[in-house]
Amino acid sequence: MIILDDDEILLKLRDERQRDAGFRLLISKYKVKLYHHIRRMVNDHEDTDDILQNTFVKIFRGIDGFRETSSLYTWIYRIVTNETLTFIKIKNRRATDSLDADDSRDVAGYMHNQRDLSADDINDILVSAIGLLPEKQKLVFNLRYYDEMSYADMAEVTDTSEGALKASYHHAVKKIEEKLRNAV
Amino acid sequence: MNNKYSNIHKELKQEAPILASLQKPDLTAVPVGYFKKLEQQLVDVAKFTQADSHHVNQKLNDYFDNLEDTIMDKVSQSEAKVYDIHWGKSSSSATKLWKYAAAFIAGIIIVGTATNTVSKPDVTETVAIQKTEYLDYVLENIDDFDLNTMIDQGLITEADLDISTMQFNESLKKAEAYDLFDSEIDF
Repeated sequence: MIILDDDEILLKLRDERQRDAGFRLLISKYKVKLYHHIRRMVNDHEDTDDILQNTFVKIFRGIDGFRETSSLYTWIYRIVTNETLTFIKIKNRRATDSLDADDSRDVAGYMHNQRDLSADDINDILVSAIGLLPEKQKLVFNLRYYDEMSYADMAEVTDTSEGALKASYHHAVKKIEEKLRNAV
Repeated sequence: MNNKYSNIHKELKQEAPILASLQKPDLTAVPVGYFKKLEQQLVDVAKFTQADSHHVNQKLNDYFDNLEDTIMDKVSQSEAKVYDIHWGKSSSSATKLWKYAAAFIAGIIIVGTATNTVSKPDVTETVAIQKTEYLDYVLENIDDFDLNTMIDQGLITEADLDISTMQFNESLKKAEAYDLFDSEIDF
């Protein structure tokens, strides 16, 4: 499938006759990125699927209200991020046990005295270290590290100042680095 | 893009060299065929959403289009209060009240004619005389319930009921001559 520019996709979405086609193009372009963005925050595939579908439906419904004060890309990311954080908030309120603690156990700590760590082991440590970050910090880290998003775009997505985002990313990176250093 | 990537990588290398040296981990195992299926699912949901919202929008449009007429109808219905007067045979006190009121008026006309009043009778005097006669009639022929109803409705007072029987009998005779009791008024 052809990957179009966001402006071209937006034109199609705003045209009643081409709306379906425009929506398909939008899904095609963003589904993988958004899926992984959500999945890095919630870990579970089923939850990710729910959030992702809700996100796209919201995008479809809200496209007429999109005022283009930001780019389509950051607007979409803002929706998916809010959906994800809301989901996590609700889930945490309901959970009696912390799932994050289970899924993100301190592998680095466990591995500390192990020798001959494989690439997979280091991978596990990294994943674990990211999982132990506070939600907002994890979000910022993921957007920068995985999605390679600029601070300017991140500021639009998270409605936070660039300075605060830089500080948050700096702290996240330092924590992960320390875990890796201790394990290696 | 390359510039952006190099900036991000440079920043990471400065802050976290070990992390910068690692390949980004693939955190997720996505079910086979998931993304292919996802696209169709989302398009179906979007179509349903669109149809649903069109239906809702149409209903809303219809509602607002008709709202003015609906309100005006309700306003006119509340203003036009129709009081039904049941002229048919009925034993209700309201019906009896109307009957006696009508008889009272008819009596004024007929008795007035019988007493040969001049073309321009003194209405007040006529009414006063007829009222006396009729009150006698009322006293003799109407049961207490109806009498009380007439008092309640202000048609007569209790003082009015204090009329001589002789006066009543005289008026009664006159009324009979003119078939007063065969009411010509179809109630």
